[in-house]
Amino acid sequence: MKRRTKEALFFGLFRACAVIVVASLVIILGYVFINGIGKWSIQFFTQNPAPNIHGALVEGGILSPLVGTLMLMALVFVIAIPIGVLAAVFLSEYWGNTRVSRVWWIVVNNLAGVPSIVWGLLGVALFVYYLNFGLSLIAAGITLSLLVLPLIMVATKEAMEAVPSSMREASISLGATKWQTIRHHVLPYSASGILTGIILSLSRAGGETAPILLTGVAINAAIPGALTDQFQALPYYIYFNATQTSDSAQAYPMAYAAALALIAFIIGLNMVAIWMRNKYRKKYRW
Amino acid sequence: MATKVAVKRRKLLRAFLESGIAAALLVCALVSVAVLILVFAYLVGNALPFFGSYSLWSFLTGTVWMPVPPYPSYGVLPLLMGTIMVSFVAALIAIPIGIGCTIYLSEIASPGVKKWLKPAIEVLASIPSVVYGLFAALVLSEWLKAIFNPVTRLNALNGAIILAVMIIPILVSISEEAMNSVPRHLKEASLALGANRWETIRRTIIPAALPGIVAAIVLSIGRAVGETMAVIMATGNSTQFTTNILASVRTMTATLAIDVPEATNGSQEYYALFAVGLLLFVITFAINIIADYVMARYREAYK
Amino acid sequence: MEKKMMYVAVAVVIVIIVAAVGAVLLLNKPAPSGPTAKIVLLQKTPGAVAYSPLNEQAVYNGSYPLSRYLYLYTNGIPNSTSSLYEWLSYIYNANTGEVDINNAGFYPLQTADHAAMVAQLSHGNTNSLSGDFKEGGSTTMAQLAVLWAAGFKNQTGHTVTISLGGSGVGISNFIGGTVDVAQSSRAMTATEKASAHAKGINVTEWKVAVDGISIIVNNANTVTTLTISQLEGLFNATFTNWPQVGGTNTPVTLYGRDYNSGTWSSFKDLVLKNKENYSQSMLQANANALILPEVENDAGGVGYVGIGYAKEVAGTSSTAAMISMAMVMAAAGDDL
Repeated sequence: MKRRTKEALFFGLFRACAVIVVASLVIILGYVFINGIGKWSIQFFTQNPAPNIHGALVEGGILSPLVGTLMLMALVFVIAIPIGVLAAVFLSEYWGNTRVSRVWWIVVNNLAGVPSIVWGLLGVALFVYYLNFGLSLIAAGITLSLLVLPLIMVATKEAMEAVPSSMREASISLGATKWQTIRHHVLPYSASGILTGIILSLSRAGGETAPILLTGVAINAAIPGALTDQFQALPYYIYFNATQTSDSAQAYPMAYAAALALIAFIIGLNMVAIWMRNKYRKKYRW
Repeated sequence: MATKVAVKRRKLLRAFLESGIAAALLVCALVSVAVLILVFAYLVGNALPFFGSYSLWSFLTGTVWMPVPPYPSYGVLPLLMGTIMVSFVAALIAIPIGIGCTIYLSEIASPGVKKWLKPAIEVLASIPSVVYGLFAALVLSEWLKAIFNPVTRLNALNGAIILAVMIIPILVSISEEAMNSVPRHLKEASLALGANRWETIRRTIIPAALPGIVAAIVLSIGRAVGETMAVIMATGNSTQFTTNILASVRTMTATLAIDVPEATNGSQEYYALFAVGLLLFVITFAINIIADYVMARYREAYK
Repeated sequence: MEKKMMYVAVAVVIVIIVAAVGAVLLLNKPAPSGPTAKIVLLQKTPGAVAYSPLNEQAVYNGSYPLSRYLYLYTNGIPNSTSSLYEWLSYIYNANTGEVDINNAGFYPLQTADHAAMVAQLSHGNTNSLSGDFKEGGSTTMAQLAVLWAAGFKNQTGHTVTISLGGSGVGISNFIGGTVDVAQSSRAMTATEKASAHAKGINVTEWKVAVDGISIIVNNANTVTTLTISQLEGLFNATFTNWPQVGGTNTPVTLYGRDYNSGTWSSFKDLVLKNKENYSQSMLQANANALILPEVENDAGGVGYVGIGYAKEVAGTSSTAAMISMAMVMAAAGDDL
C-alpha cells in the first residue's frame, strides 16, 4: 500500500475514533435531554418532591435536592478548597523536590484514586458514629471534602509546577521573600489552573452519590435548616427515581429531568471555569 | 536614624509574617497527612481481624460469596472476577478509541476543531457517574438486549461499555498532554527527513510519548476499578463466579456499597468486607505506583 | 487534496454505519403495551387451591403461603405527649394511616392484631421523643413511609425524615442510635435484639401492615401456578428450565433482593425451607422496584416483590383476584 494511502487510512480511523467519542457524548446528553426536558417547568424548580397516590416521589419538583446539592458544594468549597490549595502550595513551594515530598505526592495520587464508596464508609464510621454528628448534612459535607482534597491538591500542584522556575529565581534575585514571590509571581500565573481544579472538584463533589447515601441523605427531606439535618440531593433523587420506586412510567421522566438539571449545572460550572481560564491566560502569559 | 529603625522593624515584621504563613501552610499540609493516615489505618485496622478468623487462602481463592449465617462463605473470587471482567473489557474498548481520539486531537485536528473538541471531552469527564448509570440501566441495556440477546439485561458487558465511556476522557486528556510534551524538534526533524505525518506519529511521537500514554492507560484502568455507582446500576449484582461477559456480575466496589451499611459493626462479615476494601485499595495502589514510576521515568527523560 | 478526500471519506463511511445501526436499533424497539409481567398463583401443595396475593382474605388467613408482617421498631413505648405516640396513632388510624397502607398497595392489620397494637400503645411511658425524628430501613416500606410522613406532617406539623438502605441497614442504624425508628420487612433476630439490649435500647416491636410477597413472571411464560416446593426448586437452582415446572421453554433467570433486604430474608425463611441458600446466579437488586422491569424484559425471568409493587404489574388488580376468588368458592364447594 502506498505510504500516502496508509496515512489517509489511519487518519480516517483516528477521525472516526474522535467521532465515536463525540457521538457517545451527544447520544447520552441527547437521551437525557429528550426524556427530561418535558418535565422542566417553574414548578419543577420551585417545589419539593411530593408523593403521588402510591407514595412514589414523582410529583412536585426538585427544589430540596437542588438546594441540598448546592449546600454540599458550598461546604466542600469552604472546607476542602482552602486547606487543599494552601497545603499544595506549601508542599510544592516550601518542600519542593525533597524525598519526603515525592513520597508524599505518591500517597496523595493514590488517595485521589480511592473509590468513592470507601470515603463513604470512612465518613460513616468517623463522622456519623465516632464524632457523633449523626446522619447529617455536615457529616456528608466533610466526607465529600475529604474525597476532593487529593484532587484539589494535585490540580494545584500541577498548576504551580507549570510556572517556570526562572520566574521564581528572578524574583528572589531581586530581593523578594519567598511568600512575596509566591503571592505575586507564581500564584497569578497558576491561578487559572487552580481555578479549573477547584471547579472540577466542586462538580465532582456535586455529582457523587455513594458517600452521601451512607452519611445522611433522606428521601423525603426538605431544605435543611441546620447542619445536623438530613438532606436530599440531586444524584440521590436521580438514583432513587431510576431504580427504587414504583410507577416507573412517571418516575423515569423525573429522573431524566433531574439528571438534565444536574448536568446543566455542572456544564455551567465548567463553562465558567473555561471562561476564567481563558481570561487569566490572556492576562498572565509568560 | 529613624528610617533605619523603621526599615529594621519592617524587615522583622515581614520575617514574622513569612514564617507565620509558612506555619499556616504547614498546618494545612499536616491536616492532609492526617487524612491519608486515617483512611489507610481505617481500612487496615478493620480488615486485619478478619484474617484472624478466616484463612487468607480461602478468601483469595473461594468462589462463593455468601456472608449469611449459619455457614458463611467469604470467597472473594466472584467479586474480583466481576471487577476484572468489567474493567478489563472497558479498557479493551477504551484504549483503541481513546488513543485514536488522542492522536486525532493532538496531531490531526485543526485549531478550530480543537477549540470545541477539548471542552467536549472535558464535559464528558464531568458528567456524574449516576447519570451514566441511569443511561446504562435504562437505555444501553435495551440496546445490548437487541444486539446480543443476553439472558439478563443487566450484565457485565453493560457495565464494561459504560465504564469505557467514562474512562475515555481521562485517557485522552493525559495522553494528549504526553503527546503535546514531545519536543517539537523531534517532530520537525522527522518531517524534514521526508517522513509523512503518519509515519512521524507512528515512529517518533508515539514512542517518545509512550511512557505518558502507558501511564494514562494505567490510571484510567484504576478509575474503572474504583467506580461504584455506574456499575451498581448496570451489572445486576449477582454473586456468581462466572467468566461469561453476558452474565450478571458484582464488582468489589458494589459489594462494599451494598453490604457494609448492613453488616453489624464488629461481626465477621464486617471485617470480611473491609478485607475486600483493602484488596481493592491494594490493587489501585499497585496501579498508581506503576503509573507513577512510568511517568517519573518519562519526565526525567524529557526535562 | 487526494489525502484529505480519502480520510474524510473513510470517516463519513464509519459515521454512516454507526448511524444506520443506531437507527435500526431504535426503530426495532417494540412499544410496550400494558403490563408485560404477571403474578403467579401459589399453592401450598400440588392439587391444593392456588391463591393470589391480591386476595386479601387469603393473605390474612395464611392460605397464601408468603404472607408476612411489616414492622417498626422503637426504643420503648412512647408516652402520650411524645410525637412518636402521635406517629403511631396516625399509623393505626383507619382514616389516615390505613388509607395510606391501602394506597401503597399493602394490607392493613387484621382486627385482632390491630387491637393488640393499640393496646400496646396505651401502655407507654418510657419514650418521650418529641418534635421531629428520623426513621430508616426497609425499601419495601419506603413509599408507605413517605405517604405516612407526608400525611403526618399535614396533621401535626412534625417532620419524620425517612432514609433507606434495606431492613438490615435500618436495624443497624437503630442499634447504633442514628435513627429513632427502624422500619423493617422482617422481624429483628435474637442477635440483633441482644446487641440492642447491650446498648441500653428497649426494643419494642410494632406490626404495622401485612404484605403478601408476590412472585412475578414474564407474560410470555405460560406458567400460572406454582407450589411452594417448585418455588424452592427454582430459587435454589434445582430447576433451571421452565418446562420443568410447567412453563414455556426458556431457561430460568432469578431476580431477587440483596441480603440487606427484609424481603430477601422473609422469602428465604418462607420458601427455602431446608435452610439452603439462594442460587448464586440470582441477580440481586437493591430495591423491589428494580425487579419489575427486569422480569418484564426477560422471558425466563422470575422475581419476588412486595405486593405493593406487584399491583402495578397486575394493572387493575381485579382480574387476578377474581380468578382466585372463584377458585376459593369452587373449592369451598368441594370441602377444602
